[in-house]
Amino acid sequence: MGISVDKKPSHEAAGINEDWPAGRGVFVDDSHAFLLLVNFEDHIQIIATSENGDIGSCLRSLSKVTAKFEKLGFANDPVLGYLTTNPANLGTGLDLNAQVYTHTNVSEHCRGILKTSYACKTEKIGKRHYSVTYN
Amino acid sequence: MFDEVFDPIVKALHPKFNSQLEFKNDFELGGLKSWSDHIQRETSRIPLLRLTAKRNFSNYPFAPMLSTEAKIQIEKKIQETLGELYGQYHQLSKLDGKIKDWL
Repeated sequence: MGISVDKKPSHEAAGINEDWPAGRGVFVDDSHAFLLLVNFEDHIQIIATSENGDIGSCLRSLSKVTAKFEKLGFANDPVLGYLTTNPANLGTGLDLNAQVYTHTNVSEHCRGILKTSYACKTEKIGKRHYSVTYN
Repeated sequence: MFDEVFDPIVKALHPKFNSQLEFKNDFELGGLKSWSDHIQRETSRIPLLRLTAKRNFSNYPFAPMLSTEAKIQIEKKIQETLGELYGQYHQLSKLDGKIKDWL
């Protein structure tokens, strides 16, 4: 799945790694449709996954779970949107990661276009197998 | 607090940006359907899709300023809310290798 539950060295100086591992936890749904990370970089990270590329079902389960936690009161701002520890995630607080099999190898040039025009980070995992992240 | 420093920079980079504008949510899940039908035939090429929402609660400070008690309070509150959902909550200190491998 590619989700890390280890300490991140970059969080050390910010003090995010204090009292490790107290208060941290992971919730896994029985049907493996979503999982929650508690008290890592942000208070709560809701992750919806799909193994058949169905983005609709992903969004539906994400909005369902997010709505459950809405009553606890999320930190938001009328201009900035949802507030997050890392300013890079401000706004919707969403990020999308997809693993994709391609017909041919993706050239460096093409990955450059994805990065500059679509703000997508691509990472090669295997032969004609890429991970694309957008946030 | 940082407005004095950042506002001129934001203005210079994005002249059209108006910090007084309020965001209006016009997103609807229903609208997604036609679009997802369109990409349906290519979905076999996507073995894994992951969508993450990062949220913080308004009545607690952000992670760097969080005290140990506050962390445990947040964990408790989340666990209470989770009570209605089917699944298993694992504390990080008691997380077994099987789940770690799956993650």
